[in-house]
Amino acid sequence: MHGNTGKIADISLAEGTVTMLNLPEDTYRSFIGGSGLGAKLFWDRADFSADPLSPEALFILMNGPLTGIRLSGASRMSATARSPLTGGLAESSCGGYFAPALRLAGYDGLVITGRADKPSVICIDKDIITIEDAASLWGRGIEESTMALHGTYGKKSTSLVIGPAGENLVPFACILNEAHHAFGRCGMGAVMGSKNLKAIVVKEAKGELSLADPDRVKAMIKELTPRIREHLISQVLHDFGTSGNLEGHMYSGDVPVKNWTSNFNEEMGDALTGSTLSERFLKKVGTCAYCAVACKRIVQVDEGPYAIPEGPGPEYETVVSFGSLLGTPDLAAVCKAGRVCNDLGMDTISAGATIAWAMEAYERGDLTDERTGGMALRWGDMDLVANSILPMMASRSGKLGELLSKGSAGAARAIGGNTINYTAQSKGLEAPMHDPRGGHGHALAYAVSPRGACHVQTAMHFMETGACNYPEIGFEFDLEALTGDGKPETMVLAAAIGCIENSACLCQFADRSFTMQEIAELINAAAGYKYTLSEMMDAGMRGYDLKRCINFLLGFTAADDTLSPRLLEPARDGDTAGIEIHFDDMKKKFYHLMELDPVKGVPSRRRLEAEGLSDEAERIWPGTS
Amino acid sequence: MAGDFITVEVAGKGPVRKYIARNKAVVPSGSTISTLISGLRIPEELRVICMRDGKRMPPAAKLHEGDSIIIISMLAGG
Repeated sequence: MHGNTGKIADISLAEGTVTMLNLPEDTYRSFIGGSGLGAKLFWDRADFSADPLSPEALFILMNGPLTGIRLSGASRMSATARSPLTGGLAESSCGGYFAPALRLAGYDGLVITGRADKPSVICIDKDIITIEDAASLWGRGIEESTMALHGTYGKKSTSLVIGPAGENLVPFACILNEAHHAFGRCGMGAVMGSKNLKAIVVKEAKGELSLADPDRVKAMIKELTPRIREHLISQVLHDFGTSGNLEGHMYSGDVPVKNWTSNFNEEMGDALTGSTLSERFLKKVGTCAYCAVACKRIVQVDEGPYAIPEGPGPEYETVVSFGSLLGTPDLAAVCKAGRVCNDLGMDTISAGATIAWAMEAYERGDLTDERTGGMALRWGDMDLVANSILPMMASRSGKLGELLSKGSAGAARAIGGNTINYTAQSKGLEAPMHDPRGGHGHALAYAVSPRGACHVQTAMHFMETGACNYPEIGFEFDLEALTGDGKPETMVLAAAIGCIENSACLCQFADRSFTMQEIAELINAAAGYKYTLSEMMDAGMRGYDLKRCINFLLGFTAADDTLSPRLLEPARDGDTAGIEIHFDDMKKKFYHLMELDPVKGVPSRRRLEAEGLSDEAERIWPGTS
Repeated sequence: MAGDFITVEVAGKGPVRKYIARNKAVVPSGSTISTLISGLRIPEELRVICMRDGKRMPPAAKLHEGDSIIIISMLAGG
């Protein structure tokens, strides 16, 4: 086997045992790696009736076939589990340094089951995997824990760590690598916490990769790296971070304001955008392994109520979640809230969105002082957010902390009435900070994304905003953002492309200048899959369809491929005011193109069998032919 | 002749600011949004949309004396 090592460590925390799982090479090829292979492992191994936080629940970390080849953008990995937030398939991707370290230590992935009888750390030191005591870390924040792990396992070790939120099983708890790179979405931190697993550490790893065609890999890296570096998106990301175009997107209706009641606020756009962040607080840029872009921000707020020392700064999603969504243009406060949220180990999107929903609920009188414990939730009260609400959510303390720790949909269900209507989510996962009313394809993408509202599980976000063009697979047209025209057809390609990117574990910023043919060639040179372009596209689609089948067995149907009403209300102001999203038409056409059953929401038996998913077809469509 | 030209105010939002050196542009009367953009030498790969009075304008929309045009960068976000 090339690229991949063929070794997946199967770790039982209950038994304290480690065995090696060796999948056939053809399984790797069929699902690429990363999220696709994670889904396949979940399908084959999961007890679909198991609670997401039970010992029986699976937690899977998977590298892709390119991990470790020293290509900019190829340092990500994928986590797969059942989400404690949504109950459906959870998938999350993380950059940083852990993925290449795990590969160089000799592993394609980890499958973790059971529950340790005390707080534990999994330590990976090449062939030796041990489960060690972590009692001294339990209850500590992610930054402090990460530093302590470096002290114990060496400066060149790298770790995945949960914070107090994960320990307390907050269903949108996240996992951080080096306190800066997040498996943010779907509650992976709670899954680790439920297993009494505080951290996973790879000690210094210096192994060599076995590549199918090392010379070709080297030549492609040499060719692609300058292209990545010089790409316009890369330059903007380097100079201004992922929020580099926030002010531009504010005008196009992409940026939600005050719990999605608006998508236009000029003052907030100017105050929160990436150039303002660079001018006011940037100390230096940060990167993932081998990165030629350096989109990460290292910031410091020198003075004032939100002063913070030099350290990780906010991404676009965090800037908007704790900025305009909460009704504040105060970028210092956003930096502080983001730092606090990360250290506690919560997804900044879900945390910010849930607080924004609560602020609106309080304003409407749906959330009363009795439920907030007497706290007045006012738009833009960032002192309350950073110093009280976030810590209460992470510790699930007080009435308000317990309520908001459920996430927006869970909290809305708890207080009832029509409050669910002004959550902004699909399948229970809070929408990322790109308003579908500024790009109607996003509405379809959020609804049919297997993990819930998401802009990176498929490639629609990049395709609709014109960030890429793939004539080799029939996508070479500019899309008009404010209509549904061409969106279902684009979504078919976007589903496959997104699955390829998340299975190859590529950064969706770095790979924007790659052709799909080049991605296939890279995978072939590294892993020797011998894909044709068409076979790689099929593998992406196979992964997407399998994820839909998993969701069906977890209780989701076509009716769940929708958005909460707030996201489909015509915008009230700005350029997009009054424009209706024709969601049902887009969904109907996408279902037709994908042969999805209008009730079950799964592909037809014919389609599954044609994809080589015959066993899956039989389980989804028993007794039919 | 003075009447052959019009003056419009121009502002950039997002990375396109880098390519807008002045906040006023003098263009031949009858010019369109498309004419204005091509004169600014914005890189082809940086997609932009233009807005007047808070509404996006098609490339063929004609400019008028005193128009205030905001040019918006369209780049995939984070």
